[in-house]
Amino acid sequence: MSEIAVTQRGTGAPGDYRAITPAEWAAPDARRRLQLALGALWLLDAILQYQPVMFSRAFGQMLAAAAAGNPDLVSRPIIWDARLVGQHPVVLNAAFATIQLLLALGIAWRPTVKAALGASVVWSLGVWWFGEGLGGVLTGTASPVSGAPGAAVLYALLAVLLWPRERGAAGGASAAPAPFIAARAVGAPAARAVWLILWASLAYFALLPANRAPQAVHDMLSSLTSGEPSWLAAIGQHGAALVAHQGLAASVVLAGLLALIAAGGYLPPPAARLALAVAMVVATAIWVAGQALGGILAGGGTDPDTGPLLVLLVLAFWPARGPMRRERSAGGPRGGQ
Amino acid sequence: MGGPSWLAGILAAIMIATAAYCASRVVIARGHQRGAERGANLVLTVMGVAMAGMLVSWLNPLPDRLWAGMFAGGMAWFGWQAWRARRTAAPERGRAPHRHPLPHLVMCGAMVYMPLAVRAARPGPETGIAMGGSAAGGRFPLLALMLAVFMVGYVMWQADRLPALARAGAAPTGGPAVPAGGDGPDRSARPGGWVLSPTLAACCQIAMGVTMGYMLILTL
Repeated sequence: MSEIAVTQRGTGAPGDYRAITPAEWAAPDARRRLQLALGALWLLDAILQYQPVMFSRAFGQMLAAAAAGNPDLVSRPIIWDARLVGQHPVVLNAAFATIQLLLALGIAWRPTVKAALGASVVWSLGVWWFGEGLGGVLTGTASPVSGAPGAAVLYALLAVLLWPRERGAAGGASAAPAPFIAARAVGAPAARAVWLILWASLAYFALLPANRAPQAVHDMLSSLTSGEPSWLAAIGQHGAALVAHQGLAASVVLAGLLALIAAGGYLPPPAARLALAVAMVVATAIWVAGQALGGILAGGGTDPDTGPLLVLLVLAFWPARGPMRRERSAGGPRGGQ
Repeated sequence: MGGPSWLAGILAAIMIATAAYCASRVVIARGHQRGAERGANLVLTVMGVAMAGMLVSWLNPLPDRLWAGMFAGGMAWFGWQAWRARRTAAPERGRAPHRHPLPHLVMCGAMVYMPLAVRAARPGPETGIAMGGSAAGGRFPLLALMLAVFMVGYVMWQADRLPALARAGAAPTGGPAVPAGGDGPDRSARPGGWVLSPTLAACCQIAMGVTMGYMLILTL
């Protein structure tokens, strides 16, 4: 039996702002807040998936485009899937959107958080292949500016890193406290390795021949401005003008920043914080100028793209000021999950 | 606003059910509710009807401007409630962030925005703001996105609180503190029974938040 005392203060009506008290509902801890943010992104994805254009054949064509440039082994299932969606866009899109809605609500409802996060890993990997063509990482054209390695794989990664368990909890009081949130589920060495691989791969993608061509970054930025609000289009156009005919220099600078961020996970906390702050700025700049907020404002965007997910990832790796408190296990009434 | 008519129909039905539920809360709890609760339930009732009307044109009983005016009044009401809550909760600041009417204030703001934005994008005789036609392409899309993101966050926050609300709802009204997970509550002793369940109220707000988020995205 829980020791938490519960007292009814009101009727729980929408206007009863004293319906529950802090004694009954502990504010979510840092990891729970990130889980909720991840769930919020899933919910936004679901809502975007319910947009009218997604119920048309255009959705199938969008999926088929992900096959371009991929090896046969990867592209054939994508083309098959795109054809299927093209034949039954209403039923399949409604199913896809509803699955994402359920994932979001499952993450938000504490008793189902583990099941929802587990399901989200499976779903994300499916979307990464069938919807994003593995983020283009096998095509030789993947770029961190345009959303490599794919938003879906970042959803999966975040679900694993925010998994509600305490690595080393079995070790009892002797176990060292986690230095950052992502380390709580998988341990600090594994989490740091994931960080290094992710950001180092982004640095590698930035240096691919297709991305260091003189007009590569310029074309990428300017191609996203059509249909966007004037202020967002202006940001993209200014960014494009800044790197016009400077593809190699822009790629090298970006790759250098990404490599610095990749190493940041292994630096002492003050330097790590600086690297993470740079990561947040880079992720935000890429999201605004390179991804035009996922194309949402132009209508027809299917997700907010990688920017917000990279920011969430940065927050999951932000060094804790003191030892992170261990929370109760999943399903508990308190803030921790 | 554009959207599949069957989806608009389903959401409109959910909104009407939500409005009916909020209205029943007003009636059943008239003896127990404070002014703020009654006001919130009334505004949510009107909001449910208005949202159903925006989704399905023939359900829209009032012109857009009247809806916008009513929800501007709702904003003023919740703004006043927020100011009052801020004053009374000042000593406990930081302890109870959920005691704030901000979400309802923002919901009213979204209800003012949607008819006006869609009307600005589709000038002409008042035909309501029902979906089923072409995409609206409303003005100030960033505001619509920010409101939609707020709704998404609000839905997640409400869903996170559901287990705590269920425990709070299981406790007898005004009674002494009881241990969570203890013996089952005597629901017959609680006025209003399941109708006044805080969990059900939160579920309605979740449904309303998701629907409003969808409608806001459609205004982009």
